[in-house]
Formats: sequence, structure tokens, C-alpha cells
Amino acid sequence: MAMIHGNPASRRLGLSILLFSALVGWLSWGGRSTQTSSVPPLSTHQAEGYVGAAACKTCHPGAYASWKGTYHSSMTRSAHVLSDGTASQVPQLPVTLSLDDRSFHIERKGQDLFVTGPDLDQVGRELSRIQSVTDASQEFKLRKSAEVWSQVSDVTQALPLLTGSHHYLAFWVKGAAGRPLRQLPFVYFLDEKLWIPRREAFLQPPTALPHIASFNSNCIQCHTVAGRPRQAEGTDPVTGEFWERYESDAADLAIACEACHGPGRRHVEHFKNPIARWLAHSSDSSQEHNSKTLIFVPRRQTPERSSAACGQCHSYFVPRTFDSWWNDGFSRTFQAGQTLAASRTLLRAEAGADLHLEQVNAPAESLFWNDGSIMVGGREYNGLIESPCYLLGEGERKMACVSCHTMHQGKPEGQLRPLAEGASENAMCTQCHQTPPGHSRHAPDSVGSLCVNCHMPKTSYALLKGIRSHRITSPTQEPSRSQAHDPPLACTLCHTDRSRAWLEQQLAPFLQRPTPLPDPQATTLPWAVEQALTGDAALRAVLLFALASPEALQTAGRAPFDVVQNQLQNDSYAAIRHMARRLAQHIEQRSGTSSHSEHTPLPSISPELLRRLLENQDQTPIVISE
Amino acid sequence: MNPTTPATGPDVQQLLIRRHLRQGWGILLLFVVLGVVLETLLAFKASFYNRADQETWRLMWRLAHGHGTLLGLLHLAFSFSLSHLPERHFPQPARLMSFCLTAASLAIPGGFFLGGLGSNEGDPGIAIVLVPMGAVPLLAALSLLFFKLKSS
Repeated sequence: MAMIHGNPASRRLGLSILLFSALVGWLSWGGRSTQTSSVPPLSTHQAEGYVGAAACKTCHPGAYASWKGTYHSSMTRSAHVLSDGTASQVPQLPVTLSLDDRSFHIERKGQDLFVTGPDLDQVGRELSRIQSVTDASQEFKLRKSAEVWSQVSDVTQALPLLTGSHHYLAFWVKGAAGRPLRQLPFVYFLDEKLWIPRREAFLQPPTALPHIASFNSNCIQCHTVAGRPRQAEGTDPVTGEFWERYESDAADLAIACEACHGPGRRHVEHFKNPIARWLAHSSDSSQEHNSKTLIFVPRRQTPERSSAACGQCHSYFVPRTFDSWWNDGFSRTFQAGQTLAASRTLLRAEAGADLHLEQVNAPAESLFWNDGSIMVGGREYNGLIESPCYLLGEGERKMACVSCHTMHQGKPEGQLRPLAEGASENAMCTQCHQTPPGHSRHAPDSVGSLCVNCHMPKTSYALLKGIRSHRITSPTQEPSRSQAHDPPLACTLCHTDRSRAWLEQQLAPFLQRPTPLPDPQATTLPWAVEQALTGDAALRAVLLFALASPEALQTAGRAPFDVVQNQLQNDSYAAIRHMARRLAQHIEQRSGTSSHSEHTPLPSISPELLRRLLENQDQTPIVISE
Repeated sequence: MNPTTPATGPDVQQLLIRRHLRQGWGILLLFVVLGVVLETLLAFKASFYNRADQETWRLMWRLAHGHGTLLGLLHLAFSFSLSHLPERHFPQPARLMSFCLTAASLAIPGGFFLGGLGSNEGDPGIAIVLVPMGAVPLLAALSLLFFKLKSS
């Protein structure tokens, strides 16, 4: 009142304070409004009892913070992280990228990203239509697919969603309402700060038919929590045209709390009561805990169920019921704590098993090695359930994912439990296996004495690298590697300068199978080099990666890599060419890599021999789009 | 004061004023020191204190610091208020108010402090029950003082 009825000086002061407050308020509100997404990437739902990770943070700040430090948490994010300082590695923008004579201009407007280029949804639909023609040849489809790009006009569309944060970023374009998010045909490799066409980042033959990935019809099942495609389709009664529409949503972006702990609503509601919380804190930590706390805690559950929580994504599967999947995803048929049987059909390389190749859109050779081991990286559950440690183990000695991994401790790379707990990496195995001295037949503390290097060799492939097989094996129990499409022998991955005869000779005293007869055709050529030049694309990729590994470089030097790299930098598979280039750069960046002189010199490889090896290269088409 | 001699109103008044001056400045000293310690732990990023899973512990000790400091000031204000309270309110209810304020000063910051020590991720330890238990005598003391001053 004094301000209104007081003297002029008071009124001026009052008015100034009022204006200042209004200015501060407006600026604050304006600042806040830029934080909200003008283009939401995906709606969120709270169906089936899901509440979202934010509800967990208040009571579990430590678990929330440790999860935020993992690649799971940043698997799927709003593109705003590239503008608000959240992401540590950000591509330089604006940028113009070219593909098949079409350009894609990516720029930032405020916090939003936009791309100007061909309408990807239209391209994606046209490509799908061409591929669905059953009576056309591959050549015809390739030619028609190439023509699609030139027939589609440019549009400017938002890029509201990112996937990936470890190796590369994939960008998702938002089209018209009801249309799926389409993947930008480029990915950004974080370590190299390099844009690469998506089709060249995945292992596929040059004759592979192009496609534009759709988030809503595939990726949503593992890159979100309880993602629901909510797809509807039909035929227009007037025009007769086929239509499909998506109203997709998810409980959470990324691999958030409820992906592994199950829907949290009952837990949250129950523990609003402080007495309930106090009683829970004072309860034991047995399996009974899960029922008391109304939430699934994998490490307190049986190996089968805890591993299924990881296997919901880390396995090769097709939905058990496609009709329900297209609407609800797995939100109704699976939640952490249940087995996978009701929701998914796991693909296994058993005799006579249906590999559902039509649904997974890949040849059988792209899924499994000859010995039945899964070849595709990121599908570790398939390997686990084929391992003796899982099949034969009982009770606490039955291996589960959580036997070796922890989701809330340690480095995000691997998230290995023993390392997080201050133990050695070998503790993963020695927690159950007490091995006699000399078991490894390698010098103590050498890379050869690391259990996983012999029993979990990097024979799976994804993301331009070799990944550890999670089917626990032993080099002395494995059959001889004599068939095409056999996985490489673990020994080959470090002893890259040794011939097959040498490796067989070293293993002979320990083999639990007949020692193969000497091959009169055998060469003195290092087996890794021979296989890397003559094998199929999966074998070439896995061995190329192994040849550049620190273990191989320490054991055999870089001469074997140089021979292979020199040839595979011109490989017919673009991904292998990229690998050859990247790995050579990585080796150059590592200082002190030993040269030829410290290691056994390689036998000379004549141009004639090289030509013959390359002529014998296995041309079986391999497609690993992971 | 001789314990065998019944205290008169003015004696009790002086006694309580001195007691709450001592308590006020003492509690202020204690909780300002706690504040300095907490600031130091934050400033030097002491890992055991700044871990994400210690959020509840940090919150409880901040609350102990805040409540303790304010209660120290409250003692000083109470001491000042006692000098304005009519003589008929001594020894009772002035002694009751004094007791309530002292009990609250022990229970409230003590509850936060001990609750922080026993915290478990998002929840404080059971000692946190001291806080509502301390709030009751605090409210009683404030109400009594307000109504006595109003009626005088």
C-alpha cells in the first residue's frame, strides 16, 4: 500500500522492484522453456505398472547415479544432449553429408537438431515395397532401390532421438504424425569423430539391398523400457492403398531401472509408507526379499531368471506372437523376473531348429558359427545358455550374467564384478574353478594366463570389432577347426604368427580329441593370416580385429596384421575396409608397439600365394547389422 | 543458587536467562563448527562424504546443522523474551518452557545427525524418529511463550 500511496520516490522504487522481478521471472521462465523438447522423440506411458526411472532416484540415489554412469543409461536419448552440455562427445555442426548423390544437411536450431535431405520415410517405404516383390531378381531390386533416392524430394525434419553413446551415435528422423522414426543413413563414430554411411558400418555384402531402419518397428523393443510399437495397418477402401500408422510409446528411453527390475509402481506405492521402508531395510537379503520389496532384484534371484532379465535383449530372438508384439511390444508378455519363453522364441543352432530367417532378415551363416556358437555380438545370453557353466552348474555354482557382471559398479566397459570389487579379472572363473598351477600353459601374469583369452575368445562380431564369445569353451576340447565357417581357434587370436601345424603341435599333448593327421597341403603360413584372407566376411572381420589386438601385437608383433591389413583395406565389404583403416590408425596411436625384429620373422608370402589365397576367399554372404 | 532455598520469581528468571544464554551460544558454536566441517568436506570433495549413495547422509547432516543453528538462535531469543515475561510466570510455566526448548534442541538436530549416521540409501536411520519427538516440546514451548506474552 505504501508503494501505491506513498511519495513519488517510493512509487518509483516499488515500480522498479516490480519491473525487475518481472524481468527475472521472464528470463527464468524463458530459460526453462528452452529445456523442454519442442519435438518429443517418443511418448511415454505408465501402463503395466511402469513408473519411469525418475521415480527411483529419490530413494535410490546411489543406484541411480551408478546407472547414469553406464552405457545402458545413454543408449537412447533426446538429441538435446548434444546441445545442453550433457553429452561429452558432440559432432561438429552444421555438417553436410553426401550419399548416392544426395546431401543431408544437419544443423542445430536452439536445442533441436534438424536435417534437410531426402524424405527418409518415403525412401524407407519405397525400399520396403521393392524388397517385398517376390518374383524379381536381386539385380532388379538393387537397380530399383538405387533409383529411389533420386525420386524423393528434400524436406527439413527434426532429429529428436539418438541411440548409442559408446562407439557411435545413430540419429533418428521424425517424419509426419503417425509415421515411424527413421534412421539417418549416417552414423557418427565417437573415437574417430567421423561420419560413416550406416550401410558401411555394418557387416554386409556390397550386394545387400538397402533399407532405412525404423525405430518403432524394431529397435524400440530393446532401446527403451517396455516399448510399444502400437502399429495399425490397413487398406484404404477408396484408393486401395496400404497404410500403416504408429502411435509408439515407451515407459522410459534407454535401458532404465525397470528394464532389469521390472515395473515399479507397486514397489513405489508400497514404500511411500516409512514404516514399510524401515521394515524392508531390516529384512534379510534372501530371495524372499524380492517378494517383500515387490521389485525384482536380479542378483537375489535364480540364475535362470536373473539371466533372462539380461537375455530379454542380449539374445537372438523373434517374438512368440507377432500380432501382440506389433501393438504392445513385450510390455504385456515379459517383465524382468520372468522367463523368456512366453514372449520370445530364442534362435538356437540346434539340428532342425527353425531359425526364423525370414523374420531376422539374415542368412543362417550370419547368426551362428559351425559349432553352434552365436556369431553376433551383443547376444551373449545365447552363448551363456550353451555353456557348461550354465548347463551343468547347480545352485550358487550355476553361472549367471551377474556372476561376472555388475550393473551398478565398476567401469562402464564390461561392468565386470571382480574388477569393481578390487579382485583380478580371473576371479570371474576362480570363484568356482580352482585350477592347478601351470593350467594355462602360459607364463603367469601374461595375457595367455587370463582365463577369458582361452575360454571366451573374441569370436563374436559387432560394431566393427571382435567381442568375447559368452559360450565358455576350452581349446583342448574343441573339435579341429577344419570346416569352412568354423570359429577361429582361441590360440590363433594371439599367436597370429604361427602356422596351423605349430598350433596343433602345441595343443596335441592336451587334446581331448584325436590329433589330426599332418596335412600334406599345409603351409608354413600363419594360420591367422591364412584364415583372415580366405575366410568368410565374419572370419575376416574377427581375425582382422584379433591381429591388431594388444595381445597379438605383444605375442607376435604387427607383421601378420600388416600383411592382412594390406589386403583387406580393399575388401569387398565396406565394414572390413573401415576396420582395416581404423585398426591401422589405432596401432599407430599406440606408442611402443614392437616391430618385426623382436618376433619370429614371418615366412615370405609371395604375390602369387597372396593371389591364390584371395581367390579362395569364402564368398558366403554375411550380414551382421549390429 | 542454594538448592535448599525455594527460588523466588526473579531468581528463577535470572537463572533461566543465564542458562539459555549459555545454551544458545554453546549450541550455536557447536553447529557452526559442524557447518564449517561440512563445508570443508564439500570443498575438498571428500570421497566418503560426496558419493552419490551418501545423499541422504549429507541431507541429514545439513538439516542437523541448519536446525541446530536456528535452535541456538532460538535459545538466545528465548533468553531475551524471558526478561519481558511477567514475574507471575516464574517458576512455572517458565521452567516448563525452558525444559521443552532444551529437549527440542537435543532431539531435533540430534535426530537428524544420528539419522544421517544410520542412513541407508534413500532413508535415514531409525534415530530420525527423534525429530518429530523433538518437534512436540518445541511447539509446546513456542505456544506457551506466545500465549503468555499475549496475555501479559
